[in-house]
Amino acid sequence: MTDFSLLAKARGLDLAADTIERQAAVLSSLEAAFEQLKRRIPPDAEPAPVFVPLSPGREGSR
Amino acid sequence: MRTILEAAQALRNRRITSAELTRQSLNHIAKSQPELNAFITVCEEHAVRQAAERDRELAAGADRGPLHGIPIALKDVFETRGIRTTCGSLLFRDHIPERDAAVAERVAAAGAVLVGKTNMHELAYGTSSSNPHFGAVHNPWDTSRVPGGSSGGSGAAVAAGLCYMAMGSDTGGSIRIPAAFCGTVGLKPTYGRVSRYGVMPLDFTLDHMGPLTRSVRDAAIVLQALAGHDPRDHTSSTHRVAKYLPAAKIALKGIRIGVPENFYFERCEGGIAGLVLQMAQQGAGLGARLVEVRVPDIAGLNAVSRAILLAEASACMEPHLDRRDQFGADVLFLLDQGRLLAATDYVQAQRLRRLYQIEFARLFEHIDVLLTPTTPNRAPGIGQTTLTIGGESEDARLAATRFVRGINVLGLPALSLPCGLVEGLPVSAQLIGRAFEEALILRVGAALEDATASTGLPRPL
Repeated sequence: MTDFSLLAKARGLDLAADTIERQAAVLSSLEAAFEQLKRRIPPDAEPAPVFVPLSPGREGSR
Repeated sequence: MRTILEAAQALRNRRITSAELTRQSLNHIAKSQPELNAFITVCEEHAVRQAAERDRELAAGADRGPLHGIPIALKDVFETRGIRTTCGSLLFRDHIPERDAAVAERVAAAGAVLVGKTNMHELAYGTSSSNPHFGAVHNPWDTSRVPGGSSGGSGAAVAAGLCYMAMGSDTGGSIRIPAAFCGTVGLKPTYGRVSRYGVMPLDFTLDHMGPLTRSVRDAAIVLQALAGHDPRDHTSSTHRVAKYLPAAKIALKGIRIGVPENFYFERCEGGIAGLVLQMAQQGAGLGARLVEVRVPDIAGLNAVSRAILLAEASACMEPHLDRRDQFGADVLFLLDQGRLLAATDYVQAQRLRRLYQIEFARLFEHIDVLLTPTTPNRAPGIGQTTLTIGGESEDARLAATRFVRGINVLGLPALSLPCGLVEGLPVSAQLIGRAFEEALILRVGAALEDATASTGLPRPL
């Protein structure tokens, strides 16, 4: 499991101990969900085609 | 007059003018503001000027269509030229855009009169609309409760009759949740159907724009004005724009309504599942065929949604993250969380997204629409952070988004419509359709609305 206290420090986040604890609880549960979900991904699965390639004159999205 | 259609008819019969409708709206807003706090900015002068112009146009025979002269509002996430647009954030409290969002342009071109910018959850990142900078929005059904969010001001304004339509944005349910908690209709169109140009983004791939209204047909009228390609938004679709307004009388013969046998009805507050299933039976009474279906793993889909949103929202707000004192505690907590998420999990989430899109496409080979509750709970109290549903304690934000957030990952259109009251608070059903089949969910929604006589469930202040 990830040490979120160390990770937060590495990211430059100066968080109080109880905040780290709450973040770790949420993120650990998400991490555990992903451990299960990732097993479903076939090796050749591509990410969803959400991003549309830019073409000249259309670079200003929003 | 409760709906856009009714007001539009009255305008054309000269029973009322746009100036009078707009004055009523502005008076209602002023009266309700201390109690509901639904607006961040009211643009009275602008609205009065615009309404007078609309009246002159109608008198001269220039009719822009059903939104002509109708008072509406925009969530304060849509940029409006010369009118402050805050995104509910201290970061943008003095932001006066030099451009209009595409949505603002299109509703203006359709003749609507903008009366103000609605209050919202800070940065559209939450479901309570208890904004620490502009004050909490209150639910008009019970002012001790939240209106839902993030488009909470829009939900409260429409439910209380302060305007006929208010636009919302929806990244993980932010149109449908306030629609459900406030007893209005809320439509999240297909990703790419409505331009995101000029909308202050929360998330690059999950943000959708759509209306909150007091009837399904009103939502159709608004979508007709909004839909269509916009080259300034590179994710805007060139898919053909359909005719959205459902007929006056609708049969549902041949329509297959999917009713999930797993997940959606398993853990709801008392009374909610029963009302939604009753609505399904009303659909059957109109000729639809009810098809019991097993839906894909929605809990997994929700985890995918959370990973994408955490990463993209933090990336989106990264330029501002060194100004920590400018954020409310709940939003800062989520933005920090996004910085602690593994990059690999984000990529895997996008790969899983594709798999879920395929699974849902297969599901929709057997059904035409999927009917679910919009939320498993009614509006919680202001300040309430946890709920107990079916004996399980749950974070209030995660509960509110449980049935809606996954649909943003898929990009599918979804309509929330009221189906009744439980202990005096509104409860809603959600109709999910295939991509770009808004016309079908609006048609089914209008038929169910007619059958349940639940139009908007407005509650006067």
